[in-house]
Amino acid sequence: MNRVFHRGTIRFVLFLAILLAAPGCRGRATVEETVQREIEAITAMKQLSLVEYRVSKIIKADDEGAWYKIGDRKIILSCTAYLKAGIDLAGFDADDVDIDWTGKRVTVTIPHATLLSLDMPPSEIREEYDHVTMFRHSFSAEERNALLQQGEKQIRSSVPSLGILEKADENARRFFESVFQKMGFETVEVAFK
Amino acid sequence: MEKKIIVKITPAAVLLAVLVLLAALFLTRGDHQDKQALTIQDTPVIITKIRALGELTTACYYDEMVLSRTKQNAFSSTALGSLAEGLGKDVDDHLVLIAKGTVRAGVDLMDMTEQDLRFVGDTAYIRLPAPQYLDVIVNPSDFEVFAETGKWTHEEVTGLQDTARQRLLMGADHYGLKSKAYAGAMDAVTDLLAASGYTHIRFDHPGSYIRMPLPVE
Repeated sequence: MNRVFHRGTIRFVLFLAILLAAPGCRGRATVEETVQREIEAITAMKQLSLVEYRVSKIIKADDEGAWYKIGDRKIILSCTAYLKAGIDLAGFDADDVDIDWTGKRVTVTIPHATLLSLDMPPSEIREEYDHVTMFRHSFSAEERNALLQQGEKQIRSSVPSLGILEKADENARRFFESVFQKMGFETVEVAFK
Repeated sequence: MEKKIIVKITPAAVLLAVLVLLAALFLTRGDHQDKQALTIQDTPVIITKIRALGELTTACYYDEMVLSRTKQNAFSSTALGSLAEGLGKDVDDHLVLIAKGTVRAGVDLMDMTEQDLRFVGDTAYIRLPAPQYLDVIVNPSDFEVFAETGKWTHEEVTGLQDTARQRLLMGADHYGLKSKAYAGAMDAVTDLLAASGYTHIRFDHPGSYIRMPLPVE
C-alpha cells in the first residue's frame, strides 16, 4: 500500500516538475484589450470658460489595518488637475442687457462664475511610493482608484479657497467690457445676478 | 542495518497545522475588502499655473464604456496553466473597468483678432475660429473597477484608462461633435448680439457669408 502511494507521489511530483519547467509554451498574445461602448449622448450647452487653474496634489495613505493585521501599507500618488471656471450663458437673454443708445451706455447682468470642469488626466497621475509589508496585500487597482477619488473630491472641495471663481468673475467683467466697447458703447457696466 | 525513521502524525499535530494555516489566512485576508476604511491624509492643493481663457463650450459628448485587459500571470504562462486552460479554466489575470467620460467642444474666442469682429450700423460681422475639442474628461470618479484578478500596476491601469480618452475622441469624431459645436457657437453668439440690439448678424466663413436666422424681437 505504502509502496503504491510512494510511486504515485513520485510520479505526480515528476509530472509537476516537467510541467512547471516548461513555461511559455502557449503561442497566443500576452495581453488582450477589448473596448465596448454602451451608452452615448450629445448635449448642447452655452458655457464661457474664462480661467483655468492647473493644480497639483499629493495623495497619501497609510493603512495600518485592523488590530489583528501584521505590518502596514503605505502609498503616495501625485496628480495634476485642470480646473476651468466661467459663466453659464444658458439663461442669458435680452432682459439681461439694458441699453441706453443716446448715452452709449450699457448695463449687462451676468451670473456669477462657477466651476465648469475638472479634469484629472490618468496620464498625469504618478505612483511615487508604494510600500507593503509581508503579511499585507499590495494595493489593488480598485483601492488606488478609491484613493484618487478622495483626492479628486478634496480638489473639488478646495475650489472656494483657491480664488478661481473670483478670478473668473473678474475675467468675465473684462470680457464683456471689451466686447461692448468694441460695439461702440462708451460706458459699460457689468453686474452680477 | 537499515535505520527507519517513523514520523507519527497525531490528530493534535494536524489540528495545530490547520490552526496555523487558518491564522495565516486570517491575518493576510481582507485588505481589499477594507477599502472603505482607507482614507487619504489632508494635503494642500498647490496652484501651479493660472491661464486666462475665452473658451465658448457649446456641445458635450458623453459616453460610457467597458474596458478590459487580460494578461498572463506567472502560473498561466506555465505548462500547468496551459493545461488548466485546456480544461476550460480561466487562469489569466483580468481587469475590467467601467468608464464614463465627456468631451467638451466649442470655439476658443482668444483666437479671434480685431478683424474677426466688425460692427456696421445694426449689423455684426463675425468670423469664428475653427471648432475644437476643449476638454476630454475621464476622472477617477468616472471609473469603476468592475472586476480585478491578479496584480495590476499603476502604469497598466492608467494605460487602460488612457484608452478611454482615445475612445471618447473617436466617438466624438464619429458623431460630428465639432460641427455641432460650431453650430452651437453661432447660436450662442447670435443670442448674445441679438440681446445687445443687433438685428443682422452675419458669420464670415472662408469665402462666404452665412445669414443666421434672427430671433424674433
